[in-house]
Amino acid sequence: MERNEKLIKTKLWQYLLPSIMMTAALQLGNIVDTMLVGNILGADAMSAVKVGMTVDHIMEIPGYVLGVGGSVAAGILLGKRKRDEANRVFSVTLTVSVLCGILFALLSVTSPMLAKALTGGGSLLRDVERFVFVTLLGAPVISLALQFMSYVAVDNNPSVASAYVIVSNVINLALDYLILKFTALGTAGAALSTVLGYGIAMLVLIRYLRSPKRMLRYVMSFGGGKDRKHPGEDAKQGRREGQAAGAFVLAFSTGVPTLLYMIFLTLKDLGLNTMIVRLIGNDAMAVYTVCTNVVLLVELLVGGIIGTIASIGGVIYGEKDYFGIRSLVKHVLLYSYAVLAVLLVILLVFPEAVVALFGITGGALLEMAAAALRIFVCSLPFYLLNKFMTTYYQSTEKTKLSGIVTSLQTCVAILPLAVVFLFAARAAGLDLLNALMAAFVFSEILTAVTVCIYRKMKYKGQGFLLLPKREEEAVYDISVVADLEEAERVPREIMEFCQAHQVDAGRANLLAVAAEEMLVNIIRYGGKKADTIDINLCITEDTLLFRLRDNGVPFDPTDYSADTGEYEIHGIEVVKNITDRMQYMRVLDLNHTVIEMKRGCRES
Amino acid sequence: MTITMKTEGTAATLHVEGWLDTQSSPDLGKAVKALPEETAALILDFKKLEYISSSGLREVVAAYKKMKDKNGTFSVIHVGNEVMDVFRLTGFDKKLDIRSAGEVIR
Repeated sequence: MERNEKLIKTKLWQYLLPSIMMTAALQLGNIVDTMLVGNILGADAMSAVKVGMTVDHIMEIPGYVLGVGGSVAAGILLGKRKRDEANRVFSVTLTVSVLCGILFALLSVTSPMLAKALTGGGSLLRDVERFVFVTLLGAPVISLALQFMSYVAVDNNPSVASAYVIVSNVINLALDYLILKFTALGTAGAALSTVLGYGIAMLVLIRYLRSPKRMLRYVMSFGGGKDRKHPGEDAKQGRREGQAAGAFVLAFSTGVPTLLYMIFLTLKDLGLNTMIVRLIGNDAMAVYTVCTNVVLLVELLVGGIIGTIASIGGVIYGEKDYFGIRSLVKHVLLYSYAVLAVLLVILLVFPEAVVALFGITGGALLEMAAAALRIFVCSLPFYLLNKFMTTYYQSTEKTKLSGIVTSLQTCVAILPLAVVFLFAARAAGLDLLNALMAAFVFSEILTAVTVCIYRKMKYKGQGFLLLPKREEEAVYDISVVADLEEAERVPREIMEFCQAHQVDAGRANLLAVAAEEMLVNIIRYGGKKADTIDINLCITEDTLLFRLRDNGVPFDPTDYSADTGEYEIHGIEVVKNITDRMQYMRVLDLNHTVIEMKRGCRES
Repeated sequence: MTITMKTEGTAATLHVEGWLDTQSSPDLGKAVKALPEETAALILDFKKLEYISSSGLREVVAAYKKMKDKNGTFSVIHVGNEVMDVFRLTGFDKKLDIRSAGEVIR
């Protein structure tokens, strides 16, 4: 029996649905939000909101960066049982984030200036100004919300975090409809409903605050107090301020990738919005807004599928289970491209219907939008490939490569290409909007090709997935049914495999014993659910790495100790004596046990 | 795995050959159980034993206990390096009379 995909496929499906639902809830909120503005207020207002979103992105940077960075850092500290330090990171980032929010709120008085800078004083000016004013005014609420969205999930309450995102989006959309339909607030109403949505939904967070699983607490002492009663208090306060600065630096440095992403996104928005509004016009801005929402729709449909690479892929890559990685990638690409193919057919055959969903229902604008959308959607297969590469390379410790894809895709490729295409089209007398759409297609292709060239130069001779070739490491990879006959066969095969790869006979024998003990343990005590075991033996230059993955009841052999009488023998204790190192993880609802032994050389 | 029994008076020798693993070790238990009642000395000859797992060890220990209970003697002889490693790692090389391939019973 060869290694099969049963366990990996089961997990893919198990994780797929929640992942899709979360992504769908997030993206659907954004898409329907734009649709409501487009349908109720019109295409110009929709364009104005898109232009004003640049300010929204900038305003969100401190909250996002400190929220994501701080929560990751706090999670690691909690894992190391450094709860005080985790509390300090939580408290410092929360405080700084809200202070930044207050600062942005004060900056709301500059919204006329900002709107003028963004629009160049055109017809969108008033709508952009209203949107930017309320967005900035609501910054403290959004900053607080972003902090909690990140921290609550890390702090043992992922369901509350999801509930908060979903509830705030639902309130936002309901208020959007009511405010836009029945008041004269216009684009200011769109911003207001977002702020109120995130504000009111904070009631959901009461569940988190009262949760017994909550580990993080807000501490007031990180910056020192006012009451100094002792002579040494100055030094104490200095130390506390140093600790607070350290906590901030830790959170910030962890959030740098998020910061870069947001900076690139803001630059892209700023650059493209300015080019479109000033060179092509407001109608083009409306079409571009529809196109960006089509990308959100793709995210909605395939983001969850690709997200499983991040949730499952990293774990199995860490185990050097390259068969598992290949299998996961194959399924993820297959499912996501199948979904995209269906979407592409709809978008190419019925672009008018899609555009109409955003309130563009007739006239020249509809024709223009449909034609532009047809060109734009040609970028989506490459967009999906680049999106996959970003997630995959990030999950497999190729952070630099992932960063190159992100920077190219988000900003570095599209901005220069947009300038070149627009000026070339203007010189040739071609349609500027269609030229811009072509720039999107080429920017995605350019990103994929550049990454491919870089990868081939940097990792010579390695394939797309950058996994070690089979020849580099001797790998015995097999899936077995949980059956005692298999427990008899596998140790024999392991022994033969080891001997075929010049492993010392004594080590090979001990590894075979360890394998048998582990298999028998799973088969006998894994429970009814334990029906499949993935086995992987990797022989490197100096190590024998033996991995087992099973779907039995949770069992941590590293934590196992038996009251061994003088003449009692426990298989797991035998394994512990045999091996140099044993690790265990319960991930993806599977037991993952890794046994490590020094290889030794065969005596001649 | 094959087990051959030779008896000489009240002494019995079980020659165990092949792999003594989870599947086959009950056979050793059965062979020990089938020993004549008057057996006062039991020798397990592991000259041709290639492999032993914890279940095999358990049977060896059970045989030792049986002999101890009836004040008999118990030895394991001609133990190869690989099998000896398992006895050593579990500490049974100290608790039982285990002799490697080069050693003889005096």
